[in-house]
Order: sequence, then structure tokens, then C-alpha cells
Amino acid sequence: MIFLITALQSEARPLVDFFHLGGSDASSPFRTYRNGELTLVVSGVGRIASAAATAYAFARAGEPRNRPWLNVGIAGHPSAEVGSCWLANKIFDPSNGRAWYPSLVFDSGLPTAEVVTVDRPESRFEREALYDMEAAAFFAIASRFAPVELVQVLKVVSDNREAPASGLEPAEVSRLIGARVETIAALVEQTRDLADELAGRLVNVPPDLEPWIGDRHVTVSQRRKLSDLLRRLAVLEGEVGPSPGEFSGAEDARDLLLALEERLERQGVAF
Amino acid sequence: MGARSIARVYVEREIAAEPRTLAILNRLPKAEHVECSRYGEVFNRKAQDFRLQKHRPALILARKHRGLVLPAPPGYGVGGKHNFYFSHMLNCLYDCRYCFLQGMFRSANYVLFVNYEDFFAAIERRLAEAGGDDVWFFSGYDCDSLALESLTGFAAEFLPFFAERPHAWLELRTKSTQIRSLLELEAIDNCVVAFSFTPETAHRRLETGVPSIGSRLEAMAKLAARGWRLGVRLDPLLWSERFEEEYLGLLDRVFDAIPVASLHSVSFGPFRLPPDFYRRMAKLMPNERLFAGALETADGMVSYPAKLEREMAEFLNTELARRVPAEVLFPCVFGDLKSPAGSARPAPAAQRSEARSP
Repeated sequence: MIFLITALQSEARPLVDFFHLGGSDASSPFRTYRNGELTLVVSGVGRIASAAATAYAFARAGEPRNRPWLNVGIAGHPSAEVGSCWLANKIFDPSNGRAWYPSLVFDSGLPTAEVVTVDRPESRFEREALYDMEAAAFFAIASRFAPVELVQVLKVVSDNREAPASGLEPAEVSRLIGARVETIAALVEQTRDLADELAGRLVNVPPDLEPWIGDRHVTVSQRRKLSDLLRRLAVLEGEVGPSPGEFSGAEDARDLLLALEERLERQGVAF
Repeated sequence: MGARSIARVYVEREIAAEPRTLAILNRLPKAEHVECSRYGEVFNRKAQDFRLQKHRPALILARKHRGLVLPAPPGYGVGGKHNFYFSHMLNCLYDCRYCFLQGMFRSANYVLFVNYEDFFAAIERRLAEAGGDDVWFFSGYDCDSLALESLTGFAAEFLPFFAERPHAWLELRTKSTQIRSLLELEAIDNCVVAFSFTPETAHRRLETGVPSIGSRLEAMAKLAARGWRLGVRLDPLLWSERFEEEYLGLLDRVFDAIPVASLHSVSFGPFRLPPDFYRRMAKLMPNERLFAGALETADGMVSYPAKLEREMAEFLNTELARRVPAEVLFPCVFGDLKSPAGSARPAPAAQRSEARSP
């Protein structure tokens, strides 16, 4: 699962179309769209809404860890061209002085900039940075669910000193985001690759311990040890690794673990 | 892989305007700069993944405030009485599967402490405390001393400092061939340029990005020709079914390439990791055979079985004694293993280092 969080319905619309996302039931606290791989939640404007929507998306999806989280939306900037697209390299929250640093471990080809998350639409632009109203809260919450390499903030410039935000219509917001959907799709793909790499690493083998346990009583720590021994033997022995039938003589969990440990010792050490 | 691959530099606000910071940034003209308050905001935070960051590590320029020069653990050294270590950098350009840094840090970003002058002052204080005795300072504990030399200018700045202090001994520990700074300077007697090696098969299998054995030996030969004193560090010792053949091949290559007269010290060290480092590394690399095997935990370290470790050490000890004079051989003390001369010798740098990086 890959999570997209936008503040505005007009930001979500081109993504819903591009990724062929379907709507959820009207009783949801946040408007949510899905396909088999992506979940998009429209948070509403502001930090609290963004934090709540991010947590909601996580809980609603069954609390999947280590999946990509992308905050996509418009932002102001003092001088950047309207329509230009940026990744956050730093997110600063002036209300509490905290900063977050997305870890950019892939080459997106996009320029990067600091995002300053403010409470009201910004027009003074005191810093040479992107200004939004959600990124800090989104990042603070999403980075509890995934490593920072998988949590990214992408902003499309909607206004600057020359072109103020006042009167920015939803259709124009959709047009700005819509012009960047392929860039957003590429970011989805890059973060998905990282998440897949991480998932491949975190998978514990074998997936099913039950054939090994049978009717033996196994404590939680013995189960953990069994999993670890089987994983290590699988690494060392490959496909010819141990099978439950070879250890059917082990009367209880302790005997089973001892027999597997002996087998591991026979394998010795290697690289 | 190299300094030029660095795409992003985080800079602590406090040192952003310092000349060394600006010089380093100038050497990375294409890199983006991101200001931070303290390097800890970026480095080693929770929810960072070392292996993912290793795809594209960033550089962090920072000031080190405390603990600049620390006492080396007991038994750490190559014959000196007073032993200290210091780390101008955290993390390494290379990607060695056995490197303990992966167990120590959550982040693969490189931290470079640019306040070299504070390191100099701390070294001066340690020297003064020793009252005229020789004092050893080991660099390359948390990094490779030379791998990012073209960017850091570390050796170029530290060697002249040591040249003026003959009682201060410096060990540069490296797997790099970045020796230009050294070749441009007059060799100094109180510096040992120590190169780490594992045999060819282990190098190919486990040391991503590390220069070939041949190119490291070429670098050593150039340094020897210019009068630099060299160290050979067989660290960590790695077991394979062809252990003896692999290490004999390595020893032949090393001592064919380097004049024995240029050797200051030869040492070897075991593959050992603190248990929490081992657990983190095994989790980061669950398919790595090195961590899947029947390792043992004893005396607060995860290591090869003691009997095997001892056999490996005895073999190396015997073979090295055939090739180098006893006075430059610092056999690692595994259990009660004695030196060829029959007397316990000081443990080499490698002994405390577990499976170290450079």
C-alpha cells in the first residue's frame, strides 16, 4: 500500500483520475480513494487535519508499517515559478521551532527546498522557502509509521510574490497538480521500490511455523528462536534446508530447538 | 562511488560561514546545501534505515563539541604506552558487510567534524599529560581515514601538525588509495599509514566499493618509495573453507609488493561484534551468510567459536612470523595465544575493533 495525503479535493482530483482510484463510503471522516495499491486521503486544510488524516489512513489500512507516505499539494514560494515542482529537503514548523529532514536516497530529478508549515496562507514570504499548511504535521505522524526514506513531501508552486494566492480557484489547483501527475507517479514508483527492498529484508522465513510446531507447546520466546534458527538455516542451506519431517522425533519444543541448533553448528560459519 | 556522488550537504548553522566549511562546499559545486541546527537533527534519528540511506548518503558538516580525543580501550595499540583515538568523521564511503558501523548507527550519512583546530588542541592536551612520553593517536575508528581525503583534506591538515610533534604518533587506517596528500608531503617518522585487507574472495564478496587489493598494494608501494611507514591490518579475520589457502595467497601478494623495511607494524584482528550491533546488522542483512552461521556469544562479544578463532590466529601468527621481523608483528591475543618469541605481546589495534570498517 502507498499512501497519498492531500489537503484539498482539487489537489486530489487529478490524482484520482490518473491512478484510477475509486471513492469510499460517504460516512468516512475523510474523503478516501483507493485502488489495489494506493490510498489517497483528503485531509482538509491545516496541521491538525493533516495529522488526523494521516493517522486515519494508517489505522484504516490495518496499520501497515514501512510503506511509502507522500504528501502532495500546492505551496507558495517567494520567487519560484508557478507550476514548478519541488521535493522537501527540510520541513520547518515555526510554531514550535521543530525541523524534519526527509531522507532523499533516490534521484528524483526534482529540485528540493525547505517547506515552512504555517497556520495561515502566507503572502510575506520572509524565507526563500516553500510555504504550506500541512507538511510538518504530516511528516511528524507519517515518520512514526515508516522510515524517513519512505516519507516524502512534494509541492507544486501555486503562488509567489508576483502571482499572489488570492482568488486561486479549485480548477487552477487541479490544473497545477494535473500537470505534474507523471512526476508524482515517478515518485510513487521510486518510493515503492525502496519499500519493496525494505519488505524483502524484513520478511521472516519460513512464513509458516505451524508445520514445525505441530502439537508441541511453544512459548513466545521459543517461537521467536525457532523462526530465527530456521531463517539462518535457510540462508546457509538454501532450498535443501531443513524440513519438519526430519525433526519429528523431537518430543517437545526444547528438543526441537536443540536439534536445530546442532544442525546450525554443523553448518559452521561462512560468508 | 566517491565524494562526487554526494548530492546533498547538511550544514550546521554554527559552522556555516567557517573557511573550512566553505572550502568543502566549494569542492561539491553540484550538491544542494541544507542548513540544520545540530547534526543530530539529521543523523542517527529514529526511523532511519541504514541500508536505504546507503543508496545515496549525504554529507553533514558539523562541529564536535565533546569527546574529541578519547582513551583507547585497554590492549589497543601497536606497542605504545599511551593510546588514544579520535574521529574527525563518522561513517564510511565503502560498504563492507561486516562493518560494525552498521550496528552502531541508524544513519549511513557521513558526518564530518570541521573543527580540526579543536582536535589539535585536544591532542596537545593529551601530549602534555604524558609528560614527554610518546603518545599514539589512532584515526579511522569510526570512518576510513583517507577515503574522503579529496574532500576533507584531513591528512593534508593533520600531518603537518604531527610533523612538528615527534612524540605524537598518528595511525591513519584506510582501505583507500587516496594518497595524493601524503605523496605531496615529506614522510614523517611518527605516522603509520595502515591498510586493511581481507583475502580476495572476501574482498569481492563483502567489501562493496573498496579499491582492489592490487590497487591498495600499489598505493602502499608508492608510499614506501617516498619513505612513509606502513601498517598491514588483517582485520577482521574471516573464516572460509579455504581459509589457509586464501590467507597464504593474500600474504604472498602483500609481502611481494611491500618492502619489509617500510613496515612499522603488522597485526590481525578477530571478527567480533557487540551483541546489540550483531542483532541490528543481522536484521539489516537477514540473508547474509556471515551473520547466519553458528556464531557464539562469549565475554560480551559475538564471534566465531573460540576454537576456530584460535586456530585462525595461530595460523596467521605462524605465517606472519615467517615473513616479517618479530619487532613489527603484533599478533592479536586470542585467549592465551603467545607471540612467536613466546612472550605475550601487546594487543594490536585490531583487537578491540571488532569487525571494523577501514
